[in-house]
Amino acid sequence: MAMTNTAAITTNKADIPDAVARTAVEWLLAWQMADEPSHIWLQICQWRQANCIHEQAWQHIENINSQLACLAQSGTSHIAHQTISSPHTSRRQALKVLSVFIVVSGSSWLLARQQPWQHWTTDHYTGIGQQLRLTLEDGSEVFLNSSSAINIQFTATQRRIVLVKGEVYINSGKDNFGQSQFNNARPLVVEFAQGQAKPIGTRFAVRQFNNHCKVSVYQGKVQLQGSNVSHTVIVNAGKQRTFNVDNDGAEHYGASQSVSESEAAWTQGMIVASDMRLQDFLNELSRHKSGIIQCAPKVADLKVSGTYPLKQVDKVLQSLTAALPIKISTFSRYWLRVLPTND
Amino acid sequence: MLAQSLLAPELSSIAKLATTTKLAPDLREQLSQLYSSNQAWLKGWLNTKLGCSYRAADLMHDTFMRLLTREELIQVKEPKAFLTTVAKRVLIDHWRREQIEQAYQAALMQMPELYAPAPEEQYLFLESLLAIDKLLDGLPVVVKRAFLYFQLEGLKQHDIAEKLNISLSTVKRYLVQAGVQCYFAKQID
Repeated sequence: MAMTNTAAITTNKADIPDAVARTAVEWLLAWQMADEPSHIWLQICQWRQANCIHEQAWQHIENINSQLACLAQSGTSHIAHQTISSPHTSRRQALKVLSVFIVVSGSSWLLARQQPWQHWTTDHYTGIGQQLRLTLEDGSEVFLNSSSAINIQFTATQRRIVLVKGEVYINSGKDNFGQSQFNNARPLVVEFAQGQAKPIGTRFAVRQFNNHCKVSVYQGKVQLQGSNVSHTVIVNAGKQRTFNVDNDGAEHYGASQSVSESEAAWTQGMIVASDMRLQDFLNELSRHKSGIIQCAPKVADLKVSGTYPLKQVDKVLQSLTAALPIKISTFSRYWLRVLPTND
Repeated sequence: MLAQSLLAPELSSIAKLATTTKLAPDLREQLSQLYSSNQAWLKGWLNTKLGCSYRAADLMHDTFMRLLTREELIQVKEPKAFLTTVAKRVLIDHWRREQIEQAYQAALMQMPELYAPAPEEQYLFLESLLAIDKLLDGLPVVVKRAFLYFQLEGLKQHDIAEKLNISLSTVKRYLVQAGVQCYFAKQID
């Protein structure tokens, strides 16, 4: 999409013969790697003059190299490198998947944040800005938050819910299937990347982060166990605890903290803030909107209070500009910046 | 105003677009017709993919913009199939742009606070990023990295071999492979 202003190119890239293209690249590399580049440069000039196709080929290279030079300036080159070579799915793969998916259903999979493909094999998933409410066969009520995915595996001996990503809220039901057949209810287990949680007749939420997980209990209690630790902890009603895995692999439980019902307001499509830092509020909000919401450090500590609908993130942001000394600058359709008004 | 893109043309119709671009009269006519008889369903189709009517309108414009900049006659026996194919590419670019913006943002976050490029600089940088990313698309990650180490970061062949744990001759081979694709959009074995 970027404009190029090299007007002299008349031959289309595709019309440069393969052998010429390859030779041109080899000349470029020989020149760039040479101990005495001026010597090679003379040879390149001769090669360019020998045939107008050679000259055209060289201009294609210089044209794109000027764009590379724009990325390489003043210490930004490794940002460019990191961004382009970050693991992702290529266009070609995406095109293939898109063609398949159009036949299957018209859901908004494009909005999925990091690994859209990860969801495909899961039983239930939500895109960014979507929520899902399910009733399971045992009567349990399950809410999936924005950009989340779960698998449900009910067997004769166990009711297992695997949280693949995001956040799930469960109002667990009484299991009759188990009682009638085995005279014992099948235990309910929620599995996440770092361990599992076993609730005991309860309402609770499990949220998966990159390297930790948070269990919040609203009613009853939950037994929390990391996958590689022998001891468990009990999380009581009104409390939440994290389970972390350090970079060096060490695992530990976080301290017990209070949790209020308002943290589960998302199950009602709301976000409830009471003296919440603007930065934290925007972090929560951004879970429900594609793209990035960036907050300037100067306004990060402003306080937000109120109840806001998650379905209308843009309107919520607009209403914040009326209540706080902030303005919103739109960098692109996925990139909003929240700045101080006087900036 | 929040949902508006810097890129989305704020023009009401393709006819207006066509007059602002140097186009052959017959192509202009062809595009206007294509636009007026297809814009409604195309917008609907994009809406089902995106779940947002503003964004669908943006991308519908992008789709026709792409036809405008092709500067060639469009042979359209089946306009729906043709437009869907172009719109699919627009969708994928859109999705890739989102990914690149997020990766760029994540990389910026790791920089010291002193480094804060102005929005215009960030925008130009992102445009170049997207262009180069598209040119390198489809190459194995290790081939891309060899190319980026060499052409962007100015590393020596020897250092690249060490970083990527490959031989010197493999580095050279990767550089040729990536170069031929990046500069000439050609694949070699």
